[in-house]
Amino acid sequence: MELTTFIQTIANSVVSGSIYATVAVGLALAFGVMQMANHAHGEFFMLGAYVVYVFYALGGMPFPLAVLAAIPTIAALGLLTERLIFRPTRGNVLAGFMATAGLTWILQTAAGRIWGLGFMKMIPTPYMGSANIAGAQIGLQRVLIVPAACILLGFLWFFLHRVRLGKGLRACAQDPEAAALQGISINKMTALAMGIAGAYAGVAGALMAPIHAVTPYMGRDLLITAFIVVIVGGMASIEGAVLAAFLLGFIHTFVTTIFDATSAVMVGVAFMAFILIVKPTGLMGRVKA
Amino acid sequence: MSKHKVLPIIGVAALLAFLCVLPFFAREYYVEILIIFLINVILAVSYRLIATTGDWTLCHVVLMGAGAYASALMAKHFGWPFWMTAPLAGATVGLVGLGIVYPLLRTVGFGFFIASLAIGEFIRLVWIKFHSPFGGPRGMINIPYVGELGPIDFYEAIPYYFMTLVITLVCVLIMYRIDRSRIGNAFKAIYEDDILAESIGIKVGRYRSLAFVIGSFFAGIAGALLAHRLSAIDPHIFGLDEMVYLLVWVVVGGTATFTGPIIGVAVMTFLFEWTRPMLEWRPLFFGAILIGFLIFMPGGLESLIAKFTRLFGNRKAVQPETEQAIGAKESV
Amino acid sequence: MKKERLSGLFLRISLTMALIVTLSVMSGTTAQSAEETINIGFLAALSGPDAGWGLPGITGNQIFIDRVNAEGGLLVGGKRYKLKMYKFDDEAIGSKALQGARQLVLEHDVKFISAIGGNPADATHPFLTKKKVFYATLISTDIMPDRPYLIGGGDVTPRIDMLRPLYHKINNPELKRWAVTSQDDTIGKTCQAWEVGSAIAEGWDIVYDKHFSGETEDFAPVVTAILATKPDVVSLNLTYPTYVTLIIEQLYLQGFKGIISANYIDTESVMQKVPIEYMEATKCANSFPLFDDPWWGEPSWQHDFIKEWNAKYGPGTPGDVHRKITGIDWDHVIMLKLWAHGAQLAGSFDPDAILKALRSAPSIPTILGPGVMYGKEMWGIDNMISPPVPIAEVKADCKCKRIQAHLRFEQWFESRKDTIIKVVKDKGQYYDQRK
Repeated sequence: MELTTFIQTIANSVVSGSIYATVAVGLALAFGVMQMANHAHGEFFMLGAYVVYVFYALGGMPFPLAVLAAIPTIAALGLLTERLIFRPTRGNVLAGFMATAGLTWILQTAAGRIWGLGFMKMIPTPYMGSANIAGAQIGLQRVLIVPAACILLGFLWFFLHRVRLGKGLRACAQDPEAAALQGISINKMTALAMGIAGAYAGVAGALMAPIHAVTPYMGRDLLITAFIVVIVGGMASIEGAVLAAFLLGFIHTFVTTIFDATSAVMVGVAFMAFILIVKPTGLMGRVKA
Repeated sequence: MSKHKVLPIIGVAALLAFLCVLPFFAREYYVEILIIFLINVILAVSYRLIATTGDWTLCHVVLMGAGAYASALMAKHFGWPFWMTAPLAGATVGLVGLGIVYPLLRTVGFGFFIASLAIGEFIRLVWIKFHSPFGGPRGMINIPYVGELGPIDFYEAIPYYFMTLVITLVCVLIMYRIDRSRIGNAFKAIYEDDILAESIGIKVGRYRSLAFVIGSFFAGIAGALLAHRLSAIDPHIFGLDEMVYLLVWVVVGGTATFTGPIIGVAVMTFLFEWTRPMLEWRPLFFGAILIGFLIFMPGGLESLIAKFTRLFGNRKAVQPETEQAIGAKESV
Repeated sequence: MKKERLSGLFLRISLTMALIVTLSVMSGTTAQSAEETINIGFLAALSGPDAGWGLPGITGNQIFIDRVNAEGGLLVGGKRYKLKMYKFDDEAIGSKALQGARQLVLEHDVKFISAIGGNPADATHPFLTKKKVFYATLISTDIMPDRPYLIGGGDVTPRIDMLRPLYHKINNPELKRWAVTSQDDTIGKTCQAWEVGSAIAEGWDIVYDKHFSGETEDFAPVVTAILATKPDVVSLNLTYPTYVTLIIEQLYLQGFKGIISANYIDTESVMQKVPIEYMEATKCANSFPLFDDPWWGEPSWQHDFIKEWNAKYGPGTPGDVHRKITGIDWDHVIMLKLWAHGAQLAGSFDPDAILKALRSAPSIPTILGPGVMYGKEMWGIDNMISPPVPIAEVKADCKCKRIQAHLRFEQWFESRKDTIIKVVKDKGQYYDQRK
């Protein structure tokens, strides 16, 4: 592989990894806290993109504001999902997963009905042009994803380790019974976890909106990727999810560049199966899948 | 025979008679739908068979696809007739199932579920990636039809329907016998309490594998039936969306009893066609049904019927309120 | 005992109800005075990534149908027939298309189906051939001798992909390196083969000839791989319109300075991602011009069409489709008009008579100009109408594409066919190899 191609691919990988990480941490958190396996996680991502479509492309709001708008919007969706779907099915991971599969259909169809199907939506690129980084040309729009992801992940780390509410969340993930004994309300924690999951998936979608085609089905493939990341990283481990996200980002991008996208997904999926069978706790997890 | 036994037999006989007469009254398009319905019955019942041990999979539709591809390849490249390729396809998928289940045995519950998804997707991607022999994203076309038997041309809908009906009855009967046998009991014992089962001599791993292989075999048969009806198959029709439809049938019908999944397929097939006018809204409608059943009626429709009739009185008494119906065992 | 009687009763009642409901739903005939209305079908992707090729075509068909019905119906064999269109979304999936074909033919007795083609064409042809129903594909590569009623050519695929190497060679004879890619499916594989054959015949060096997976969402790696071969021309062949936009964006971001060429570029959507000056500098050659292009002249059928379209489906109208007109809005109606014309020539709707009449006509008027039924050496059967192919480039002054040339296909093909067909056969994409 030529040097410029190599550098370009590294750059592409870092961007991919950043997105995977932002999407997957929410899923890892939700699963870790109360075994909430959210099949509709990809649709949270999709709706985040639509928030930007509505506010920025249609509404003319400045792009950064539209992205920030995705946070409370999809967080609210996460809270609703927790209350209406995960709470009644608590204790039964499978039922929660299947019910959110139903939610997937609902959200996809609703998005299609409201904003139309047919041609995919193109969102004007707010920051056209590219940056020359060590010989590789990266679109500015993509470049800004990396610092944005770092800020978001950093914020989450801070929240989980330095803020009381966040520490309660981690406690709940490690040992729910002990946490309950300490007076931590499980309901509050599950709601918080899903709220964060929604917020992060949504903001990832918002950031990706100018880069992807925006369609009601854009979250579909992301779901498998997100689950691969979470499982490889260890079901409840946030650090594991971030690590796995970048690992997968690199693998996916290099395999796609050298071979093709189908092979990349095959590698990812095979890796997930391997981990589940050989080391179910994942690379860094404590909780068995 | 007690009244308890006579009634269901009359009911089944009436249903059979109904199914035999129906195609002559229905429009040709609906006969095609009935054929697909029967294939889905095989699929749903075989899925439930595996689920009686507590193993819920996400690769069952892919296994049906494997049967479709296997039968198609044998028919196209070797020129073998349907009555050979169909059982061979079933056997092939049974073997594939055997290969899949051994590594999967190390997982349970949700891990099993997701691992089966991973393996299923992998297989599907293999079909997409390799144009030879699977045809890649385009899939396979010009799959030979079943052909003729004397004056009967199985290309026509009604003959194919009756052939499918016979095959479906045979498959369902076999699975029913298995379910009622000692093997079936072992499956249910594993589900109830696998540690206890192991302690009384039931080798849990062996029986889980057996259930998986049997279920895979019948999924393969269903796939062969599909391939030779459509004459064209491609990887998309065996994707996750279709798998979730299977889950909807099984959840709506219920899995505690043998006939639950059949009821689920029947009701959902009917709803599927009936909602065709609101085509654009249909997935939303079905998503809501899935959520509704999982939360409010996890036992499925069969639990509703059980409430009324109490015909299903013994051993596996259905309590609609428990999550027993959707019961992958969790290991935390 | 009471319980058993109740349960038995319940069973009997429910069975009877099931019987009644099912019979009433399934039986009965389609009440249709078949003599006065002829039904046509629209069987294509109306949702999902392929919908861009299908959904907009409904408007064009409907405009034609409304016009015909306003005159009292299509005059065939001395009698007037009204037209009615039924839609079915096959999501570009073969098995769904087959179900749709069955529904359209068995339930609505359609005589003609507008479609996109590809997998659905493969899946539906045995049934439609048996039922003798026309299937108009956008992709002429679907045409095969064992599909007598599958017709195409209204869409310029793949003729435009074969003519573009000629077009660029004429305009830029100093350029040598041709890169081409498209998605990995029936359509992409076959059309790309014909393009590569044509490029070789025109003296181009093929430096990149691969397909990307239809699952691709991030085109950065794909474009990186293409640019590593240092091409003069990057051709996107029959890539789906949305992917075209994303690939062009990457070409812009990664600094490509040559010529961009494709089957179809949705100018509007690319402009969201890339400055118009870049589009003009790289030409962005493609087809499916808009009908308000001055090339057509005034008055013209094309200008009338776009006026009518805006009046029916444009902003503020009752039929507002919330988008601008695209090249696909007229793409399907070309074949519908052709079929209607054929029926009028033949004096009946009998499919064999229509084909015979069309093939014996020395020149058939189409939206894109006069054409003939052609294609025996390409597909094994003369089922492709071959009107001239318009090639457009993107211009900054109007922020749109403008026709630069309108090329005839047949004579050029006759002079190059041996080279081209050999390449296609080597790739295993000739019609008798694609079984």
